[in-house]
Amino acid sequence: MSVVKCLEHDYGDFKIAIHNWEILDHGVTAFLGPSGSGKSSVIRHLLGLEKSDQLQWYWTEGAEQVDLASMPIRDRRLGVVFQNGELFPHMTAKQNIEFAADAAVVSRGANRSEVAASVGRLIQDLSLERATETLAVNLSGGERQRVALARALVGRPRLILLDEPFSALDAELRRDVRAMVFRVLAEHKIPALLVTHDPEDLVGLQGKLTRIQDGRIVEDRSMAITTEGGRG
Amino acid sequence: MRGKWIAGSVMTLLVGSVGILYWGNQQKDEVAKPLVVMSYASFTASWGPGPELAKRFEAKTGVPVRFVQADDAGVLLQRLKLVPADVVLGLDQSVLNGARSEMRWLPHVAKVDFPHDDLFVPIDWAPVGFVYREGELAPPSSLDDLRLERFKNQIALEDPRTSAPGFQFLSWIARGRTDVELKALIQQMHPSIQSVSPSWSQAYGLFTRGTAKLVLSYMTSPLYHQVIERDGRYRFASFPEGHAVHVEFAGILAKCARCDRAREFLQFLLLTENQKLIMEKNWMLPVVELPATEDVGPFREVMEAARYLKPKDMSTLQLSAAERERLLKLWSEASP
Amino acid sequence: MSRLSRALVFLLFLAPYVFSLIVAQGQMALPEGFLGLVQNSLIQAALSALFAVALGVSIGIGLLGLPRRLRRSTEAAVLVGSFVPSIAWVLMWMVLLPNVRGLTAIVILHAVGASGLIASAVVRKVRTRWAGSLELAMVEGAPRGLTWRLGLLPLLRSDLVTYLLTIFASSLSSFSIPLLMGGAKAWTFEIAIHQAVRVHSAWDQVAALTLWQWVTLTALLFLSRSRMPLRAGAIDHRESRAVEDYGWKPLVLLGVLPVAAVLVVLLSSALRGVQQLETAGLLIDGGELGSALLMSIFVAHFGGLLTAATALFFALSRPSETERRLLSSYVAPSAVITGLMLLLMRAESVSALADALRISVGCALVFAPVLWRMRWHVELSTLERQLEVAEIFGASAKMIVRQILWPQLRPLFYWTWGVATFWSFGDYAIGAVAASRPITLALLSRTLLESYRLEAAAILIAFGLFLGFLSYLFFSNRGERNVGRKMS
Repeated sequence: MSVVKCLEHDYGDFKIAIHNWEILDHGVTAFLGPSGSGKSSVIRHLLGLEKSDQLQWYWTEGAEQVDLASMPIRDRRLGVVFQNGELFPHMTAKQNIEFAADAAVVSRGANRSEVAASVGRLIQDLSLERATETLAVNLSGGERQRVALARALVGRPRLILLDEPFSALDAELRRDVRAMVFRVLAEHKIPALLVTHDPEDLVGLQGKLTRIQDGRIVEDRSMAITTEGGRG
Repeated sequence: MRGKWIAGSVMTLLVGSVGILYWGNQQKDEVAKPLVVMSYASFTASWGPGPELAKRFEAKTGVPVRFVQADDAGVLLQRLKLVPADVVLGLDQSVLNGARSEMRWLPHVAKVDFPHDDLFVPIDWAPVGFVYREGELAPPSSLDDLRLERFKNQIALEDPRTSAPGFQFLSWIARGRTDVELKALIQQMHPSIQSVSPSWSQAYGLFTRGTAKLVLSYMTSPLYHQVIERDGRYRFASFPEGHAVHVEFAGILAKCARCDRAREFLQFLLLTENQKLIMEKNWMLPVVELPATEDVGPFREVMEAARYLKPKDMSTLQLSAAERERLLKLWSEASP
Repeated sequence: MSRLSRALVFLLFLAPYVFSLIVAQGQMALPEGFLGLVQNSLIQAALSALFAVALGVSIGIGLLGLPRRLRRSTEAAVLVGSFVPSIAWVLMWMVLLPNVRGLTAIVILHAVGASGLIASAVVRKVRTRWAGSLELAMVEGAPRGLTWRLGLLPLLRSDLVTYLLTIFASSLSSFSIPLLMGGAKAWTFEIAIHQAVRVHSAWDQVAALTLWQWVTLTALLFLSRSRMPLRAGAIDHRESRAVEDYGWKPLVLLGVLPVAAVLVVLLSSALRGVQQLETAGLLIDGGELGSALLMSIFVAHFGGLLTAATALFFALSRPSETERRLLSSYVAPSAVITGLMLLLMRAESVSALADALRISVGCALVFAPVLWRMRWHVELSTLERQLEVAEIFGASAKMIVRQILWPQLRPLFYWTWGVATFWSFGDYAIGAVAASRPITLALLSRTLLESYRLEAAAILIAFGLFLGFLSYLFFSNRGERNVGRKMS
């Protein structure tokens, strides 16, 4: 289980104030809100990319409770997929994924052969076989997001944060990529925090829905399998 | 990684070089302590008088001379605080006051029949005026002539704020004129000024390339063209009313390491043969009388012409700091 | 460790200012006519910057229209203009347009002198970051003018602001051109500094004026509120056809013609120059000339390397946005101050090596902030997101530097090395103060100029430019080589 006991930050003209927010440690926590509601800012705070006025975030694994807020970024064992993928443009698709694999081995003590196997598996699961030797700048939008996801998953993070990962894709591609992403997440049993402004992204999801508005949570409930329309 | 390797190598190189700096030359200097003479670049250049003077002095005394180049006056004085030297050579009269106040100097013992004081010895000099090429225009015959229409846009001048000859020109035109008269002259002269250069070399460069027909320079400048370039067109416009002069001095620093040799060197510079060398390679006039039997070629004529322009005493050469400020202010105010 | 490295870099750059305060014994005083000085300096610097950027962008558009091989050498040729000494530009102007003076002449000369560097930066930016946008425009059939006006120029906005500030800074500290073109009434920061040094030995004024220059630029930089640069495309070293299509070759002439003119003026009396070299005894055994040549090559390349390494060192230490901006706003004080401070480096050592090291370090102190401001600042900003991602994955600092930063900064490192080398070939301002003898071609040419030998000086200047041109070509090719890419 993971609980954001407190996240507060004052930007001057905008305040974030979140208390006792549970992020699922299995399945998908959908984080929905219109533009300017503070979703991406919350993600940046959770990742540690911005210094928060106050952040208390605890992650319970078995008997152990870990205070993620007190940890440096690289030690939090999180994964992220940003809207534009943010791949390393000078590397190929495979090199991008292998980079994250190396990082996991070096800094988290992951088993090298396990991680190597994971690379191969993810490439297969995300249908990236034909794109492995392609430079990141030459990948299509959908390929880019899939590589970004593979990169984020290879280190077996405790949580993967998806910050509007599908918004740069056209409608049809979005559906396909979305389906693939959720399937892979479920297969690899890695919980996800999905940030989106589009309720369409919630179609087919089981988990939890949190709505944010003006920096505050206005709705926080479980979410059953939904049909088209995104309400469940 | 490569980047850090490169950056790290550079740091190592830097540290290593500093190490070489600290130990390499230390050893060399101990062997034969040279007399360190600081002077301007064209004096110390291989084609200037410096190297030959060094050779002669070493042959005479066994003491090597090391010339160190320094930029112009203000920087030179600051440089002297940081760099060890025994003798400074090439201070013109306008910086002597500053030199006295910024540094300590040792009295010299040189004797010369030319204005000097106990701290600074003159080593060469030249009247300042306008140089032109024969056939290009009829030269001016007085300062007032410079206002004439035929000189419109023809004069390459040096800025009195940044150049020694430039300031000497200003003090020259100020002589015997009230402030009002001086300002009027400057204003009337202005259309004749083609350019105002930060230094003599730039002004002279514009002149030699033909963009200006007259340049503020030294009476000896045409000699360079005559002797070296075998071009006899260059002339100096002599004004019966007189000219400003540019005098270069040498002095011994109080922090000298080889003070006795420094005194010797100053006297050495005043020997006939060395004055002749300085004249021929520095294109300035000697401060001593060269015997009539001495073959100095075309320099003789210029020496004779300049005789009546020799300064009488040090007071005519120097202006107080306040007076300099005042003149520069007038110059700025009068310039359109 | 990173914080220490960054602090060291800042200390290094602050040193000349501290030194000037020490020389001034802690005093500062403003010269008379200070307000007029500020007004003149700001006006000529602002206009120069505007024209330089306009000209530079135009030339850049011209360069982009050339095929690859021709573009590289033409870019290097256009860059020559940025390293031609002021006296050469002034000579050319006096020959071609003797009656045009004052502010017009000052602005145009500054602009032609600076536009090459801007053109080079624009070319690199558009080619490596915005080629994708041009491809989109090409597919949609957008006309060239419209694409540039409504498409690319807005994308380049933050870069243009950077270039404006860079040229503003260099024009603010310009000396020879404002004086030669402005006449007796010319009154700018640098003229005032030279007057304070030469006439009054007023180091308190020097300290005050140099600090004022820096404060002016810092204020402008922070006031310009340089928003984060627009999210550029990822660095892409492909050669895109669209780029060539949207360039316009004729504009190259704006950069090439002035350079050709100044070279013609420099070399028009080459024969006389050779004769002057002979009379100066430099051609007899070639020893001094040869030694100056070798020393120039060493000083220029080492100075270039130090410049690039300083920028890289700072970049790899992951400076914050504020730290990056601080370095961007830095202006080296007058060459006089920098040169004098360098004399502190083992002042009594007058060996050629000591002189060479001082000049190289001085060049790095002066050039590194300029080039940082022009390109590194923005490049690092655009890499920020990638670095965040890498950190989130748990990548170590070593991995980030080795696998993300260095591969993507390498072309910029080599470009910086090339540009700074080119620049260092022509330096005489620092060398005149910091060196004990004319050990380089540039210093030798200055000495020749002071010895009636302008044409000989011109030959050495032209030769130095040629060597700089070759070096720049070499380094820019090196930098462009495979960063791990496939050609499209």
